[in-house]
Amino acid sequence: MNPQATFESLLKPHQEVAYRYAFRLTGNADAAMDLLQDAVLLAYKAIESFQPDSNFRAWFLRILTNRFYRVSQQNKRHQTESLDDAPDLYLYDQAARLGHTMEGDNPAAAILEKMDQETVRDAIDRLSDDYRTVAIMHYLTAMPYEDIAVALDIPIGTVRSRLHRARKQLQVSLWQLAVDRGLISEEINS
Amino acid sequence: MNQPFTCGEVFERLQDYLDRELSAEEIAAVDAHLENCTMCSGEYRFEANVLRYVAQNLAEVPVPADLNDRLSSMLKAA
Repeated sequence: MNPQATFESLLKPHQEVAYRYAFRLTGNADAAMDLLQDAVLLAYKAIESFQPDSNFRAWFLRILTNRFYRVSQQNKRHQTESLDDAPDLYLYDQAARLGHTMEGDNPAAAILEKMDQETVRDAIDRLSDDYRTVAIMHYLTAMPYEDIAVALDIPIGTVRSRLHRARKQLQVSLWQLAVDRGLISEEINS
Repeated sequence: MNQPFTCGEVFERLQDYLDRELSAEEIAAVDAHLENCTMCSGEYRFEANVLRYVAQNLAEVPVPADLNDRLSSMLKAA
């Protein structure tokens, strides 16, 4: 097998999830394709640094993420936002206040069914890049913390803390956006 | 047999439990608690549903039908 074919056989099982990841990082199809193509070229040129017995997905997503950071810094996007610590179980508490937490197999349904895809996307976009990359990678790939740590070149403990904080902040943003957009009323029994 | 966790111990581990990042012993202890605690079980199911909902929404990205062809052509030209 020639080098290009070998590389493509490694990439192919992961290219769709990589595209989705790039799309969620950049926010649109054109930028996602540009980012993915840049990352593919960089990875192809650096394939000799890939250890065959290691995780190709994590290795490739690290290259893609680093490329995103580079472009993001150039565009000065999301770089100065801080992430205040949010309360635990924020949506649960809001749902409990409205009396929705014990409803059948999906106690979150009464809240979530009112939140559309745009609200979820916008809530993710409110996170700073460091938290957004961890959250999107986690939600899209379901990779274990260990692989995310490799992909983002950060310690596992940092993956855990960023993911947990991002998740809490995401719940606050989801609620605030849904209320602001009139999707959910904060009034009890409404 | 290990002791089931308390509500506080489960709360501390809830996110890692959701992410399947606990040891087998810790998972068993959380499972044992959730089977007998309506409050923690409700919180867990709520959080699990929120996670699933967000993941499903984020995954709804239309992938270009020619993605493979475009990447392959680009690599050929590289």
